[in-house]
Amino acid sequence: MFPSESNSLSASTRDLRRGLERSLGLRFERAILHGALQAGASEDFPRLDEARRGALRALESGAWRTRNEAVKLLGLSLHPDGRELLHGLLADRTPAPALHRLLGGDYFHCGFERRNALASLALLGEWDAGTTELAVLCLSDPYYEVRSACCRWIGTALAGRCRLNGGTEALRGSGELVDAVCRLLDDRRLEVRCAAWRAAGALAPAERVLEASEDRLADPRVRVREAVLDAYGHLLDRFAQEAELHARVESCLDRMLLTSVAMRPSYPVRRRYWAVRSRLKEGTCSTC
Amino acid sequence: MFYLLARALSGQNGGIGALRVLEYVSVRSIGAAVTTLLLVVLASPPVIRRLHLSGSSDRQRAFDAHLGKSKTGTPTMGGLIILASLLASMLLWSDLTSPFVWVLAASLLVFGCLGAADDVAKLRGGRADAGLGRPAKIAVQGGFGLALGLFLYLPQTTPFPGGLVDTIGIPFLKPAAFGGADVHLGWLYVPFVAFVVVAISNAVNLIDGLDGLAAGTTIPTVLVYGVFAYVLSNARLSQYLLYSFLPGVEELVVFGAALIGALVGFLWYNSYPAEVFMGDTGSLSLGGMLAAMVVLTKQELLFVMAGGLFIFVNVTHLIGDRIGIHMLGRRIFYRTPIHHSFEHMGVSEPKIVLRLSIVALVLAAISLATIKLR
Repeated sequence: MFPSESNSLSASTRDLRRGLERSLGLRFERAILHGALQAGASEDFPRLDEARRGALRALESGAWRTRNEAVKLLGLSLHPDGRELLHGLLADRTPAPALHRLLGGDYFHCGFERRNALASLALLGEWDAGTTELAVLCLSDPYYEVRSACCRWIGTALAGRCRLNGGTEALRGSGELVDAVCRLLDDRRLEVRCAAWRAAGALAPAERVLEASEDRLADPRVRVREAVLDAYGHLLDRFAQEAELHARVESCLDRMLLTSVAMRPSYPVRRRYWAVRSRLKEGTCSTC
Repeated sequence: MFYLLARALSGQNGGIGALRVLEYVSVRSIGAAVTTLLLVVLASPPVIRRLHLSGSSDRQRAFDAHLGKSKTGTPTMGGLIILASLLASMLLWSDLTSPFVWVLAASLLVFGCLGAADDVAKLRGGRADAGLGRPAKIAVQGGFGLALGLFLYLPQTTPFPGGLVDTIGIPFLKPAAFGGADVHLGWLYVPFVAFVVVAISNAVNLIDGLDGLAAGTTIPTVLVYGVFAYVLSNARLSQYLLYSFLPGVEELVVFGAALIGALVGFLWYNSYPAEVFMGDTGSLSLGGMLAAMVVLTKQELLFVMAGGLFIFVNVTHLIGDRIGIHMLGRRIFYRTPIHHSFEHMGVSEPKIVLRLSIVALVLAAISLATIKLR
């Protein structure tokens, strides 16, 4: 494929993706947290067939940007062959060209493609034994965003935003998956560590999470401590009736370092502004 | 204006001798700094209001606007206030017959117009990425750099003493006149100046991503070059510290002081949480003016140390954005420019700005130590 042809394909695929995003009212960046789309959700998009055909064509491109758009389209368009294609892409370990490997690249399907493939799988929403195997593979991916995206996807699935074959216990019962997530609690990448803690809180046995968290109560990275607290929150949701666990969590909280370099701005004038705007939009003001 | 007036009035028989103080670099520098500081502090509120009413507001992507946490809508192009105050200060306190002042004024105007055009394009396009293209910006920056290089290199126009025209200062090394060595670039000096101008102006432009960061980190660097300009322009001091004497560069001291005054005044409003952003109008022109100071003091290589933070931000951006995102299709750093990586890691914005300003201050202190350590 000539570069100009590839560029135009990339642009047209991007337009289709943006159109689908508008139609669904969903930005692809939020796909993993959103989880499964309702069946037929993309049917309202008038160019759906074109989008599905375009995704298949773009997936064959030599340019990663074009393939990346295709990966997004597969999820947003709820492509009937999407799962199979994305599973294949994530399992493909064809190495990147030598120059790319020298500069830090790994596989032919680059990091962004693999990360977005997981997001698209989250939109497609099915989780079976094959998906668990794939998730274990992704949790050891050399690219950190794939590992962290996979952890977030597990969290989304366990929160009920995914169609789980065998229910949540099928996931929690997979020792391989639990081990893979727990290995990431000490990952060298902060983003992965945080995502792993949240996933572990929802997935792993309470004893294992609490034991591992002992070393993280005074972690120098505030993001890790935040994630540990989220993990505790998940444990309390899962084991609401277990007094012993509550006591252990309380004991951990007593020893947690609370100093922080993190602080999020909150502008009262803007909050009020958006509150008034949303009232106007919803028509809840007396003059509307 | 004050300088020329003082020279005219104090030089004549029966003239006003006391006015001679207005010829002193120290007095003019303090005057220039106070002028810009007051002008920026006093003029900012009405200008910010005017910028808002004219629709000159920042349009960054904001997924969480409804939470009241986004900065979208903050008036931008506040750099105009800095530029106007600097021009006023130059008119009042600089020696308007000095070619060094012309160069500084030209850099201010060229980069100010370039930045303003970029900001206007973004505002019209309604998106943060709708500004002037990279080639157009590089063409203007490079064109100015080449023109400056030629101006400084050609014997008919150069303000530098003969023999020093194509030399560059090397930190920790004395010039040949004092038993050290000189590096003569010959005609390569012209493209070298262009490179320095493009690199520095883009570097400062890139660091302008958090409230008060560009101003807070530029002040120490300007201070370093102001001190160097003072040393180099003083015959006795330069002789004592073994530097080649560069007559006329004392105008850079006055300008540097004015710039610091303007930046401190701007920080009054731009510090976290910002009431106004300088925009590319401010950051590009800040970079252009700093580049002009670097070239005019002939301390280009010192910028690797004095402006080490800018270089670090640029190099990491180059690796993260050009190689990582565009070529490899993956992130190498969490985010680029690198200060956004720190945000991603959970460090709050004011803390990042303060810490990076401390780094800039330390680098400035080390750079100043090279005055004696050679």
